[in-house]
Amino acid sequence: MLEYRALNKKAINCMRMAALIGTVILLVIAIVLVIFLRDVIWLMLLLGALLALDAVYVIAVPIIRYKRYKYRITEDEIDVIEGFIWVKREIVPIERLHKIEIAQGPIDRLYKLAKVEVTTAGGDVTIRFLERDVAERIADSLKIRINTIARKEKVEDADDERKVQMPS
Amino acid sequence: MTREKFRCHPSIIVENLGAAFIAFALISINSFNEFLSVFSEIGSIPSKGVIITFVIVLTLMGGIIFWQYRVWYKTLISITDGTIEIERNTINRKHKSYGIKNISNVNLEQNILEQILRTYKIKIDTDSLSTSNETDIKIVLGKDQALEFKAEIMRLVAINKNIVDDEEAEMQFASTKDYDISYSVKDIVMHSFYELPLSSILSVLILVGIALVFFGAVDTDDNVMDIVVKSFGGMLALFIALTTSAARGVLSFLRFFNFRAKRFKNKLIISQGLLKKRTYEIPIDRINAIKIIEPAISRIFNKQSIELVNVGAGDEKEEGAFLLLSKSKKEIDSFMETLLPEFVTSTDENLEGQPKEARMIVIIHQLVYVIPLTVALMASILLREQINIAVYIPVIVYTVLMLFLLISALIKFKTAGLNVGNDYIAIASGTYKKTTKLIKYDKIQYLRADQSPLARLKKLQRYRLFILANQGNNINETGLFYKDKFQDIYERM
Repeated sequence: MLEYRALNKKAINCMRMAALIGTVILLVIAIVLVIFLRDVIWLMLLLGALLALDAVYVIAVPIIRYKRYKYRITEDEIDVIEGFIWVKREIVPIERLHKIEIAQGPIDRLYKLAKVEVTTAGGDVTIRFLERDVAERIADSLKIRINTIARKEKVEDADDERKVQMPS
Repeated sequence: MTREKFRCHPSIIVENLGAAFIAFALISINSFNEFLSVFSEIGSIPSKGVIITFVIVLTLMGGIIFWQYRVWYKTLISITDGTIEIERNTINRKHKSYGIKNISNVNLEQNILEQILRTYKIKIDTDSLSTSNETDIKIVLGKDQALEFKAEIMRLVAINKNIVDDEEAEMQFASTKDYDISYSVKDIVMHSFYELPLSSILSVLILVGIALVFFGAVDTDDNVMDIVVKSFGGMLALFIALTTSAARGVLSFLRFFNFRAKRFKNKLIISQGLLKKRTYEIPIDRINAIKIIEPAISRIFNKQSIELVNVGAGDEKEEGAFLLLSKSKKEIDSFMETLLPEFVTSTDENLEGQPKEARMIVIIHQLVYVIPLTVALMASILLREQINIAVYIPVIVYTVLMLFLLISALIKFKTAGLNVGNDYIAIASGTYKKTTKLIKYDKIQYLRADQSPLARLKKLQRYRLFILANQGNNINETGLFYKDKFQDIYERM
């Protein structure tokens, strides 16, 4: 059985950068509250606690998420495991795929990373934080497998039709 | 049927104008006296405000009517061998092509206006996740043209699927006057009763309680006016309780009136409705799952009903997806053998309950509701200026709510069940309303397993099965079960 693959180490900094955007917003709100409501003690304590939690989120969470993130693509399926507090595992049979897309957000582009989004009739599954060339190789190999499955089904349908039309 | 382009029946203009006309009527009624005085004072100069309002309203109405007429005139429909084409050549030009091969449902509907004008609304749905919450195509045609159009679409669907040839496809859609299952008026009334949600019953009981409190405050020594004033609150509460219950019952009755179902070769035909008649034709291979529904009252009386999960039936709020209305389990099993033998509904004995390690986790997850309730209780005590007997009221309410949450968590734990069968998977869930879903493995698009930190300690997981369906039915979640089920489910997909 194929082994699970880990992400490139650049994924840690990419996750950290995304978390920092939230931190910036939180800091702006904190500064405004400190300027206008610094006498409200419980609010200041709550703000302090939130900032401390956010620091943990930015520093420690990307490392845990990186260590936990694994993916595997076999002949038949895509298997992705990821998460921090809640861990999820998603498994998609390749024959269920309708669409494959490579996407790059602004932060992904900064670290030359990309994500592969596969779409089924029931929803999407994403493999994130891949190097661009790895994402393209994965997308290409999935497209080849989908075409092979589609050709195989077409041959099987034609065989079935011939059996129906053949005189008894 | 001709392959030339055609338009909808012009009555669609009136249907689309419906809301605008109601608004106009309301404005007119409000301003009626003023309008009347304008026309009765011949020779006198009416106020500018009245005239301006009148002109604006008329202009707006004229504009809306003209626009709707233009949309109707410029919208053309045609059928090819592989697609349904809808062209709209107004300011926003659109040309939509729907693949015949992807059509999952072709349904007929008649509201009151359509019944008077002898037209039908044809609703066509495709196997598309992006439009699974709405109907893809709606066309209004005269009765004969509608039936011809529907027959042509169904013929092309059959040909595109390569299942049957032309001649047999036409014979497939024979008369559907004889239904396999039909429900009497009594059955439908009882179904409306069994279907009542617990929240509705509790609301009525609370309102009746409030009414009794108000009536209890009335003193027989009071004068008539005082009695009326004091009992007004009670009368209002009773009025709300009775009208909401009656309205729910009446709507349910109108929706399910003359409910009938039939199995015809490889599809189900369901007909229902009094003021709005609907006929659904659902291909068997487009049924992605079925749901065995048991609301609280049904569970007490040992009744069940069956709903279909299919892209097309039940994707608009007022539509139904019911295959069978409330009956005993034995009758449901028997009806299902006639209508849909592909699914066996007597699943209770095969359902595996959650492991006992999951019980504490389910209770702890309910604690998320305890925190805000506890904060509310503490605030209500601490903010009091003086502690007196009235402080016990929030404490009593809190205690009752805690007990309710605990009992609900235990019922939820007991209700959850899972059976990884050979042909389909059965998932039971719910608290007071139990829903058991039967999903065929080839309809599952992908599988997900979720673990919270507590569940990870006990090697338990919650599974989510994603299927093609409208919102609310596309994600099917199980309770907490051991990790080995994951491979079991996946191997069968």
